[in-house]
Amino acid sequence: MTLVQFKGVVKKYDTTKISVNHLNLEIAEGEIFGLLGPNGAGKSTTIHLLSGLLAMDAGEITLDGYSTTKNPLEVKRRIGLVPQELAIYDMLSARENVTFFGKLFGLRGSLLKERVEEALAFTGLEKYAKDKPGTFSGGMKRRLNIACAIMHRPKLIIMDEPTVGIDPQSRNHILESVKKLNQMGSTIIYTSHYMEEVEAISTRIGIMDQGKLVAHGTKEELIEQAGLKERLMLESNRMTEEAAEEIRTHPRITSFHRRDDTQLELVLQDSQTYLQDILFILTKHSLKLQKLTRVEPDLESLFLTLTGRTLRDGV
Amino acid sequence: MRLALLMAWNEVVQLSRIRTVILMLLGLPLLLIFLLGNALDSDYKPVQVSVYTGNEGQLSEAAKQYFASPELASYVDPLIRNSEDQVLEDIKSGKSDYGLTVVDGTLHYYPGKFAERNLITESVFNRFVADIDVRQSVAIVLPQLSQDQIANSAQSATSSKLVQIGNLVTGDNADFSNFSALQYYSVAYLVMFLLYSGMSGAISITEEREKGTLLRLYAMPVSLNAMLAGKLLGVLFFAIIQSAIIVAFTKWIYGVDWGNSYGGIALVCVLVSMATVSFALLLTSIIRSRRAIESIFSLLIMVMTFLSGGMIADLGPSLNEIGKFTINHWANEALRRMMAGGSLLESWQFVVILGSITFVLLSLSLVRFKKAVAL
Repeated sequence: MTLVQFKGVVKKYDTTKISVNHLNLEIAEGEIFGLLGPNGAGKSTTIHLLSGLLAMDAGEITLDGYSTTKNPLEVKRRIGLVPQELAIYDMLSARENVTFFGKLFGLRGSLLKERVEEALAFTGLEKYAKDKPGTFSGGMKRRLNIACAIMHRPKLIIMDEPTVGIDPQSRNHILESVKKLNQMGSTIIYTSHYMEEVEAISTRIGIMDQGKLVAHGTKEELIEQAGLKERLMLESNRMTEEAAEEIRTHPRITSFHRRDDTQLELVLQDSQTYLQDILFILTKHSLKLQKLTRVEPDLESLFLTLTGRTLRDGV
Repeated sequence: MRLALLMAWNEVVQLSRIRTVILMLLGLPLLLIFLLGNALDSDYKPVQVSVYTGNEGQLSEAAKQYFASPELASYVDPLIRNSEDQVLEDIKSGKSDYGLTVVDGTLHYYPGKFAERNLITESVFNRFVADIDVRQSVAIVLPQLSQDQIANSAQSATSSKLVQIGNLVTGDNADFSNFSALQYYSVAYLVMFLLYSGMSGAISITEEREKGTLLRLYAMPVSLNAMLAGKLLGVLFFAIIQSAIIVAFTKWIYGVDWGNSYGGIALVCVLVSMATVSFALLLTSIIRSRRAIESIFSLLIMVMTFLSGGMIADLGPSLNEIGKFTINHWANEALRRMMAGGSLLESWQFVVILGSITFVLLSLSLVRFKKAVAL
């Protein structure tokens, strides 16, 4: 069942820059939708439009059947936004922070208390409930940032780059939390420019670049759509021109890149059958194979194929 | 309403935990009024006058009686000496501010170092001399009267205020002719610090925007009106406490007479705070940096306080006219009329103008703030 729907959404910051360019997208209930793209791709603008923080110039966005323009409060009740910034109050303790935001979501009395403790426990902050965020590490602050967004058990949790600037341990904790929240029934939109994070947790991925959604689907679907193949990294003790040319002209080689005097990067169709031909060519030219690596198609190569640049170029 | 109160409570809790805010909102006004109060208070300390009357019969007796009268106690503290030399020594050493001797039936004045104190003393002495003149005249014209009757006649002939001090308000407004300097500055500082309360509201919003909490609040099911009302109520809460403390402190410590219209004073304080918070909201929708807002707001507060005569009482006709374009002017005028014993109704035109300024600023800030998103 579709939970979120973007129909022809356009957002312009001025007449020359289109931040979101005719976005059409559906996100089903129960998904973890990873939105991938470099900084400035339009990811944050997209989620700000969905959260009602920005007004769109054209199109329509609905959440659970409610329009963000016609029923903004109903939409907001169903969202838990984890902003990129640490949107917490330094003068309030961890518990006071979560309680305050819980009250704004309409929670009261024993239910409020129960949900606050639940959110603190979920993010591993129950021992620090009385402490102020000023005494917290970066990772703990990020977790409190999440606790403030989930205590009302929203249908949709939007996480905007929630792991920026934190240690690997806290990052893993957050990624595990995202999976748990999803298992508990929340749909999640997760934006990041860390492809490995998106790859690790997402059930579906959208790739944005310069305001456009260039592709979306499961990782396998995206790789299939882009026609990406497994690559072979081949390293020998040396590489002669003759040997390299003979490998390049092999009928099953669809991509050939000579990295240096010893390494070749190849895309070989039906490699399980034809790798032997390549090895024979090396032997024929008295070359000795030193290392062979299979490289599965990843999001980085996918992004490169789709946009002509790497994810990090835009970061 | 519940959400607005929640927002207001959050504002109050947070502000109350910031020491600098507490210091700025509550400590600084009291400190400034204390310092200013002491400075102004020195004008009212009775002038120490060394008096030697010798044995000059009726004139000596009259002088002794005159200086012992309770009406003079507020202005002159006589120190009766046994010789003229003692009086001169007191003046030289600074023990007394002024000296008076009656020798050979003649009054001798010995002014001290401070011109204002000399003025007060001479004014008192002139009244004494006038009193003597009247007695002599009565005795000559009506020789059948007893000494007591002559004294009563003289007193009734000269019974008017001895000295008037601290009347800093000039112009054609007779209502304020009995206004003291401490009253004047208490009002000016009360209004100035209410403006600073508004600035704390502006800083709070800017901080929320910089930290991202404003963005989070926008993403919650809270209407913009509730958010603004919450901010406004939070700042108003502090403003009311601040006003109450300043009024109570100046009343009890310095005896500043705030009149009887405390409800009217509270209304003016609320209007000033609302106008300032609205202006703060307007400013934060245009300027994003906290530092820039602090600098601009502080400068505006100082300029408005100055132009409204909050630092120097009479700035001259041109600047006084410009001062009418400040929030301070209308608030000061309303409060001073209430201080002078007027009711809220008697100050209505000033309160209405202040209310109109507040309404315009609030409307503009609501329109502007709705357009300016947190991002």
